[in-house]
Amino acid sequence: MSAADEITFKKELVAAIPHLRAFARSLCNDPTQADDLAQEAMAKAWKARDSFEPGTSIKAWTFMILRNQFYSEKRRSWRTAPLDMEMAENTLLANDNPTVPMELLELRSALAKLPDDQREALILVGAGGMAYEEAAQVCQCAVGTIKSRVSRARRALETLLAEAGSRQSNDHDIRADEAFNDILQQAQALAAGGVRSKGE
Amino acid sequence: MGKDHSGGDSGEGRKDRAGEDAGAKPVDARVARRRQDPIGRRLRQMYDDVVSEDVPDDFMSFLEQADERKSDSQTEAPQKRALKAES
Repeated sequence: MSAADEITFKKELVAAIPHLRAFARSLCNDPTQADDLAQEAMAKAWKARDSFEPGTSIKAWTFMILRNQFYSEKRRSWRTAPLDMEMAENTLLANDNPTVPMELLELRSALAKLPDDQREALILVGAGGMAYEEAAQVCQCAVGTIKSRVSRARRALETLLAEAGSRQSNDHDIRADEAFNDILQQAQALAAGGVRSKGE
Repeated sequence: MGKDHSGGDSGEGRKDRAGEDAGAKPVDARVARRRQDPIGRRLRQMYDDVVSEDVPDDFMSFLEQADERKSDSQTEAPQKRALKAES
């Protein structure tokens, strides 16, 4: 790679960082873990810069690196522990911050219930605004596969959110609702006990 | 038409997206459809909230260090030793 190419590459990489962070956050949920993942992906991309084809989408290329890393390191906090303390902490952080509305928490918990492949397709296309072709490149699958994953994910999400919405308006004792309240209570307990002392 | 993301259009990292949207007709149609879709709005908000955050310093300092390593090949890279193998 020539010096000029390298400067261009670096500029594009820098511009991609906010997107890498957003994609990582959607995969990890935990902000610290997500930033670690994004940073590692950036370092990997930089190291592998000679294999980047100038003129192609650096966003898709770096996302692919990040995604491969995520799955190879089995950082599956979404699947392994959606209702654990980490989630409670996120809830707490979100509640501390009045700009994060309840509906975003609802969205996150609904996303957590989707299969990995559907969730990531929906995040790339529906949240990140990627073209299907780019998303297919990131996930290393056919464009048609991405399309069907996105539409299945959307339908599932609509159902989940509609359920969450009716639960809220009815205010009935429904199991999932209890689970959610439980998280809130955990979060409040953490707040009372000082969450920052959790050894991190 | 990158207007659906108008919240932070002045920010960095938007160029690529704006280019994408302006490029192909099918994407335009999709964007138009998504605009009136509450779930899509929430999804984008979740993503864009992170995009619009300030990038933590360590990201940039890593790349600055990468420069230093190049100009002075023996400069220590305390953060990412894995990269020592490069060159």
